[in-house]
Amino acid sequence: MFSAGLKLELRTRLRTGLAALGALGFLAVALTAVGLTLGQFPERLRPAGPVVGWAMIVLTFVYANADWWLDQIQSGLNQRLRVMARDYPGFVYGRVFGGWLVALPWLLLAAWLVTLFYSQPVSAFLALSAGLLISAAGLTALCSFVAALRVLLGNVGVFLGAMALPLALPFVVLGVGLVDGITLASCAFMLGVSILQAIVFIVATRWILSLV
Amino acid sequence: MTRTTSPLLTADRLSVARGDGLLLEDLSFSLLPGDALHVVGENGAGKSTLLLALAGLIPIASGSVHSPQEGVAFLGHDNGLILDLSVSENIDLYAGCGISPDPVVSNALGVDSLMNKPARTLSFGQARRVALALTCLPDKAVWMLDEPFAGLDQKTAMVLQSVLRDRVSQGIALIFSSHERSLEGARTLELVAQHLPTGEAQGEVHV
Repeated sequence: MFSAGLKLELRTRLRTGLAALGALGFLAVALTAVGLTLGQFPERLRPAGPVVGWAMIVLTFVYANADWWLDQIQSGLNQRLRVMARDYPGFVYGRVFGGWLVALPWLLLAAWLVTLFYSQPVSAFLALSAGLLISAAGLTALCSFVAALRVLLGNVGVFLGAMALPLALPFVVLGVGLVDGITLASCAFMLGVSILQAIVFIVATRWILSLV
Repeated sequence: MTRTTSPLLTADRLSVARGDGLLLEDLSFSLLPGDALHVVGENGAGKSTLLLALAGLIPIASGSVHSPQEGVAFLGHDNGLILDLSVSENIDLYAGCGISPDPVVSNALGVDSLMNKPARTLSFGQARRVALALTCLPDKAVWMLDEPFAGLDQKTAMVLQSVLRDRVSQGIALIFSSHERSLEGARTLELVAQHLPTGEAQGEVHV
C-alpha cells in the first residue's frame, strides 16, 4: 500500500500543478509586499532578503501542504480505505513520501525566485536550496500531522492545527542560520532535525488516524 | 464463504451524538450471515450517521459495535474516486490497496465501458457504479452501503438489487440505507427524527 499511496501522490500532484502555481503566486506577492515595505531602505532589504525569503517559503509550504492534507484526509477515498484497506498507515506514509518528492522542484524554484528577487549571489541560492531540500522531509510530515490533528479534533482542530504550525519554527531558525553561513556541520545538524521531526510526525500521524 | 451462526455485525445499545444532542440512542441489532437490514427514515433521521458509526468512522457516544476486523466493505455518500484520475487508474489505485473489484459485479454494473474515462467526466450514476464495483467485494463479510441506488437508472438499480440478493444468499451480512428501493427478505430498521431540541432519534427493527 505504500507504493499505491506514493503513486497516487505523484500522479495527482503532478496533474494538479496549479496548486503549486498558486503557492508560488502567494510567495511572489509576499516577497513583493516585503520589498515595498522596505523599498526606501534598499541597503537593509538586500542583506535581509534571503532570510525573509526563507521564512516566506517555509510558511507558504507548510500552509499549502496542510490544506492539501486536510482535503485528502477528509476525502471519501480516505474514508473508504480506512475501513476497507489492509494497511492504511502504509498508504498514508506513501502519500507523505510522494508529497515530499513532488515538493522538491517547487522548493528549488522558490529558492531561485528569492535569489532573483533580492539580487543575491549564487552562494545564497545554494544555501537556500540546500536548506529547503533538507527541511522538506520534516515539513511534509509536519503538514500531514497538522491535517490529521484537525480531522481528529473537528472544529476545534482549526485552532489547534494553527497552534501546531509553530512546530515549523525550528526550520525557520535553522534555515536562517544556514543562509547566513552554510557549513557542512550546520547542514548535518539540520538534516538530523529534519529526519527526527519526520519520524516523530509520521508516527504521530499514524496514531492520530487510528483514533479518528 | 464459510457460514457461521455467530453475528457478523452487532450494535449493542449504540448511541451517537451529533451537534448538541444524541441523534441515535440505544440502538441494538445484530446481523447474522445471510441477513440484510434496510435502514429507512426521513432526512436527518440519522441513517448515514448510523452507517458511519458502524464503520468506525465517527465516534460513538455509548454502547458498542462489533464487526469483523478487515472484513467490512463501506460506501458512503462520497464515491471515493480521485477525479484527476481515469476510472482504470482509480481501479489500479484501489488494487494497490488490496481492493480489487469482482469481475462479475463490475461487468454487471457496466464499469468496463467506463475504464478510459476521466473520473471527473463521469455522471453521478456512472461514478456510483464504479464506486459500487469497488465496494461489493466477495472477500468482505459485511457490506455497509449508504444510498447505493442513488443516481442509478432503473436497469442498473435492478442489476444491483440482484447482485445484493445473490451475495446475501451466499452469506454476507448487508446493511444499507435507501429511499428508493428495498431488498426482498430484508428486515427494516426505521429511524425516526423527533425534531426535539436534543435531536434525539429512536430506532425500531421490523421483520
